[in-house]
Formats: sequence, structure tokens, C-alpha cells
Amino acid sequence: MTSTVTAATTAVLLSSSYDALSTTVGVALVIALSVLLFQREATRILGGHRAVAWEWAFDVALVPLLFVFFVIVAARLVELIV
Amino acid sequence: MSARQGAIAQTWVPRVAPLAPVIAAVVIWAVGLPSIDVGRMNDLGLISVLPWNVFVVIVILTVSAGFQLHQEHINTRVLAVHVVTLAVVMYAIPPIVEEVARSSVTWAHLGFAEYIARTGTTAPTLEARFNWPGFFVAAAFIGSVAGAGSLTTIAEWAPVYFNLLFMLPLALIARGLTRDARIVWASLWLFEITNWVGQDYFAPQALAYFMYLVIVAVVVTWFLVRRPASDAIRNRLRGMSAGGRVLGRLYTVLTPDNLGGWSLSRRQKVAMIGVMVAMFAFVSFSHQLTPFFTVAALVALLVFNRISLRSIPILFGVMAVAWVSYMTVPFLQGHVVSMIKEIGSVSDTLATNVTSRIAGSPEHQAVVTLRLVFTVALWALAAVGAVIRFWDGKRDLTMVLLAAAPVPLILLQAYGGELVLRLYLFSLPFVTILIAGIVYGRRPNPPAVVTSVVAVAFASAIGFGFLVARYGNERIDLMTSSEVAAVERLYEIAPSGSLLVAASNNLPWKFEKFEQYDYVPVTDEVLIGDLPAIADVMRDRKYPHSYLVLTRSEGVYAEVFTGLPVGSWDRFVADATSSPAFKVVYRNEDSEILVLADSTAESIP
Repeated sequence: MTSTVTAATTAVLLSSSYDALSTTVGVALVIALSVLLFQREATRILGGHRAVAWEWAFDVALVPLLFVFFVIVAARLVELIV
Repeated sequence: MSARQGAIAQTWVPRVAPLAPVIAAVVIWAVGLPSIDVGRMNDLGLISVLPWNVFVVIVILTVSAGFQLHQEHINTRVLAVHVVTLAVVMYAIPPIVEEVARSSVTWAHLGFAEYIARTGTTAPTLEARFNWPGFFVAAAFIGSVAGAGSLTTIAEWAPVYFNLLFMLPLALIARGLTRDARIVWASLWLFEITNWVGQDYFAPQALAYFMYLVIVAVVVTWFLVRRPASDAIRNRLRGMSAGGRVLGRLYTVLTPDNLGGWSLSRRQKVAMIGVMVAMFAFVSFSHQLTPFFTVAALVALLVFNRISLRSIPILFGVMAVAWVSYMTVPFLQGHVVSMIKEIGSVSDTLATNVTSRIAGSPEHQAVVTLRLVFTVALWALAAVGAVIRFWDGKRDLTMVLLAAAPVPLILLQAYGGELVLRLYLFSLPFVTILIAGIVYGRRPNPPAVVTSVVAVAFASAIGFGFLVARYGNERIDLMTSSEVAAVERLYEIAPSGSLLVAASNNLPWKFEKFEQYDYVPVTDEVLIGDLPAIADVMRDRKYPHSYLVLTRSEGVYAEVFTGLPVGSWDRFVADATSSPAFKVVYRNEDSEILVLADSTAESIP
């Protein structure tokens, strides 16, 4: 399963242009980030005995997503300048 | 008098009496309006033709509001009537006394809405502002529902209803930052008479600013951290030998105040965040700068642990950056290099925003100087207010942070010479609260009679200054029905693809079919009266026809902003209309439309 997903992902990445990748992956990333950030805030406010655990879980996903988001934005900016 | 009449008098007279000055003010104001002849304005703007009535009305309203604020128990309904009346008195004069919507930019914005209504799409490659089309989409929708004609009226009255709209979140913000009702009402009053920057016309900035205020109002009302300062820690700090007193005060200021206030259930809070996110999405979709001012405000509050929200400032940052990165590519392609060059060029930004604006006719330079003094004086007063309240042990760091949050954006760009105006606008709600606190935030409260009298005199003086600062460009912003009629006739006969040439962009054009024409201002050629050069521009073979549009407002613009001597514009128009290189195809009292003499374009009936 894992190897199939990896192969499919690699194939998709290699067969797409930079623009298409930057747009599709970037937009998906923005949507995922937005949903997770909202969900994290909502979880904090709603509380409950597992709220802290959920916040940690969200952070595990959010930190790398934020990093990738800024890399993509920077890459798009560089492409515009160059 | 019967017992019943006596009872009615006892019940109603105390209720109506406080409104008598307001009623008198409105009558005096309305009586004075017909005597305003905007055609006689000089370069000081609207104040040069205002009758005495307007000044008397400002004094009456200010004295009456000051009297109300001096009462032991203030009447919020009466004060609300005062504030609404002030907004109408200050902002409704132009739409009442002028023939059509003011400002050439308003007419261009009407054109963008017309384009969206007609084509069902935007054109980000044609017009930079279409990269943030939210406001224009909303305007197109309203125009299609209410009728395109009514959109012009809506645009004309925009400053009045936007300033009234601003009052709602501003009241909530002030209420969220202080429990003193006198400060709340005084700050609303101050906002009305200091909002001179004119960013409340029919434009994305006005709507985005309203939404910014709503977002900040929601945050300071329901999401502030409320934690009382610990007496034990404070006493320990004060007990220290060196600087203990200052440290104690610093601790008090840095600890979020517990002002109590309205509470929401957890689910209601989540729903409120949903509303904020939706509003911020619209702001990101509508305006270039406002999203970043909003993020700056929330991040400042987050860094200093003033708000309980942790992820929302980051979410807003992601949304703002994502919109710019993905949806404004046509704009970025042409501007990204110059924008990057502006980063960190604070001295250049200040030069573009401040010193280069002190130009034009002597009266206009006086107006600009007054605006600078007005702005610096208000910021200085706010600083004094912050220090006084700090010294009094008030924990106003939230206000100070919100007032200062826009400042770092000066490091990023000059925004076409308008960034300082925006800094002023975005700091104003909090600056006015800090200033109001100087008078109404100290003991005794209500203040002594002398203090109240001084405050009323000061507020009246600011009101008079506002009329100069706000309407100092009114001679330029004034558009006439004759000019609009000329451009309407031009659009009727000019074939699609024609070149439209004017002395500047200061005329009511682009309000329909804007994408079908190319617009070229020939300011430099007009200033030196170089008619052959203008003819050369119009002779471009790329265009089937070229039209030179000369209107009253272009002449005023040249006189006020470039210092063109009085009479030079009329001479230029006379030279152009009598030149063998051109022929006049349309003329009315404020406009001439010319084509090249050898053009096959027909005269406009």
C-alpha cells in the first residue's frame, strides 16, 4: 500500500509542470492549513478532557504544513522575480 | 394645566429637552446649506464657501455633547443622537450641495462594478484593482438588484453611511477596552471629527476598514485575556529598593485587565470565530492592505498575550499571503520587483508620503501642512494619554498595541504615497480612546467644570480644523453634471478601441465600458502648453479614433497640485479649441471634446 501511494505520488509529481504542481499542491495545502487551524482553535475553545491531546495532534500536522506553505510561497515569489 | 398635562410635561420634558440643541443645530445647518456655492471654492477647499451656520452648529453640538458627558449619569440615547447628528453634519454636506458623486476615483470604481455586472467576470490583467475584486463584485450585485442608476446615488452618499456604520464596531471596541462610558462616547465623537483621510468613499478600503473594525471589536469584546494582576507580586516588586515603584506599575500595565463584560458560550465563541474568518476572507478578497493591518493587530495582541486566540492570527496570515501569492499574479508580475525594492526604504516611503505632498498652490500647501500638524498633534496627544493612564495605574497596553500595530507596515512599502494616511486611519480608533481618556479617564469623573469647558473648546477647534483637513481637496474632488454629461456623450459615440486623452485622470470617466478604451493623461504636455506633442500622442495609428477631453476638474487639478497659474488652464483650452490641429466635436459649460482636425470622427450632437 505504502509503496503504491509513493509510486503514484512520484508519478503525479513528475508528470506535472511546475505551475500545475505549485497551484494544485499549494491550493490543497492552503485549504488543509485553514481547516486545521480553525479546527485547532475550535478545539481549544470547546475544551474537554482530550482538548490538549487534540491540540498536540493538530500541531504535528500544522508545523510541517506551515513550513511547506512558506516554501511554496517563496518559490512562487522567486519565479516571478526571475 | 390639568393633572394629566402636568404628568406628561414631567415625563416628556426631561426626555426631549436634551435633544433641543440637536434639533436647533439640524435646523440651522439645513438653513445654511442652500447658500453654499461650490463653484466659488478656492484651494482651501470647502471651508472657503461654508456659511457661518456650519461653524455654529459644530459649537452647539459640541457644547451639548460636552454638557451631557458632564452629567453624573449620562444618557446614552441622547449621546447616540448627538453622535449620529454629528456624522450627518460633517459628512453629508458634499452629497447635498454637489451635483454628482465627488472624486474621479469614485467614477472609476462605478465603472469596475459596471464591468462585472455587464460581463460577469473581472479583468485582473487590465486593472490592478481587479486582483482584489470583492468590493466591486458586491457593488455589481447591489447595482443589479437596486438598478445601476441607484449605484451612483449609493456612491454619492458613501461617506455618510460608512461613517455611521463605523460607529457600531467602534462603540464595541471602546466598550471592550474601557468600562468608562464617557470615554466610549467621547472617543466616538473624536473619531468623527478626526477621520479626515477620506478613506470612506465608494471604495474597497471603506468596506474593508469596516470589516477590520468588526473583527477587532469581536476580538476585544470576547477574546481578550482577562486576568487580574496579583497583589502579592505587585507588592513584592514595589518593595524592591531600586525602581520598585516603576516595576510595580510596569507589572500592572503588562498584566491583562479583567474588565468583565459580555460572555458567550463556547459554541457561540466558535460560531463567532467562523463569522470572523468569513469576514477576513472577504477582506483578503477585497483590499491589498487591510488584511495585513488586521494580521498586524492580532499578532501584536498575541505576542503580548492579550488575546485567547492562538491559531486565528496564523490562519489570517496564511489566508492573506495565499490570496496575494495565488490570486494576484497579474499584479505581482508587473510590480513585485518595485515592491521588494521598497522594503526597508523608510526614508523614501516618508518622502513619498509626506514631504512630496507639500506642493502645489500656496493654499493647498497650507492645507497639507495643517493635515500634518493635525496628525502629529493627535499622535502626540495619544502618547500623552497613554503615559497619563500608565501613571494612573490603568492597564491600557491593549489600546497602545492596537494603536501601534500598523506602524511596522511602513517598513514594507510606500503604497503609492498613501501609507501614512492608512497608518493614521488604522490607528485612529485607539488613538481617540487614549485622547478621550485624558479628560474622562481620571478623577474626578465627571471632570471639573473647567476641564469640561476646555475639552469642549478643544473639540470645537478640532471640528473646525477637520473641515480644512477633510475637505481641503474638495475643489479637485468636485465633479459636475456637465462633465459627466460630456463623458456620457463621448462613450455613446467613441468607437470601441479609441484612445481617450486628458490632462490628468481627475475627471469623471471610466464609469462604463472602461475596458474598451485606452486612457492616456498628458499632464506634462498640458503644463507647457505643447499642443503638437498632444496631437502626436493622438495620431497613434493603433487607434481608430482619438479624443482629447478637457474638463473643468482637470484644470483645477493642474492649478492646485502642480501650481499652474490661475488663468493658464483657460488659455490652454482656448489655444487648443482654436488650434488648426484640432476640431471641437462637443462642448458644454464645463467640458470640451476635441479630435484631430483631419479625423473622420463626427461631431457629437
